[in-house]
Amino acid sequence: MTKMLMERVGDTDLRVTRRFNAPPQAVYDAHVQEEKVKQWMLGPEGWTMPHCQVDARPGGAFSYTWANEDGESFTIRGTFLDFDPPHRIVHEETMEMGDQTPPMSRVTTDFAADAGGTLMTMVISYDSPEAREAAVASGMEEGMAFSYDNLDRLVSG
Amino acid sequence: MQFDSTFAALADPTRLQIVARLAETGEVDATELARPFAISQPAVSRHIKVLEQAGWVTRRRVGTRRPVRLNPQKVDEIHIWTGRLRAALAANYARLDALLDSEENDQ
Repeated sequence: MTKMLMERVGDTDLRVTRRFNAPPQAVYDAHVQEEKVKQWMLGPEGWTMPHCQVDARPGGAFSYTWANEDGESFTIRGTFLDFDPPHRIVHEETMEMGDQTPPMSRVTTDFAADAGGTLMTMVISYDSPEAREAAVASGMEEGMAFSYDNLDRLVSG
Repeated sequence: MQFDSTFAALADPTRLQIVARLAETGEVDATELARPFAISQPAVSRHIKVLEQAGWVTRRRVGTRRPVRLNPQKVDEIHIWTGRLRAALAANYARLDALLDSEENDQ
């Protein structure tokens, strides 16, 4: 099992790397096709994604809502900015928190062919060091790692 | 009482605030708890889990809701423990008083 790595880079960025046992096209498709996103982006453990909307065009919007059995939910929404299939997706996103919603973070996700598989490198640039730490405190590392395990099973199956 | 987990659970400013808030408001939904802290729902959910595992809060099920409340037993446990500390200190000072009295009498 390949493990996800999340590191702080500079003052405001996070870099997430993960290897998948499938070619870049398959991993890329799983990020932009709504029916596929629904099947893997389920983390953190114990949460489901009852709402998933993906309009994968430059300027297109997406939103994901997760819910758990305790009646809690949260939503991440954003806009796709740029595509270079199957190598790169650029988007911006934020977590809905009413009037406390943080500014959008900018996310660049690269998919590179790597010995028959794909090395994904995602760089998330936050508005401020505080925004980055708030995101880390939300448990995103655990949630993303869990989702990417699902994705790995989906694309290598 | 597991003191390690009891106090470790409070050694986070947000969790300390959550406990303080629950003492004032009584039972509330996790969504309500997220609101005043400017932190995200998944972060609040994680904090509640830590507090729940340490015995600071309990949750019941009301339909689809899982409201959270402070566990009064945990507050009592702390109260009893600090009471014992105070009693031990009082006993020390009582012995000190006795010692000082006897020294005074010796002079």
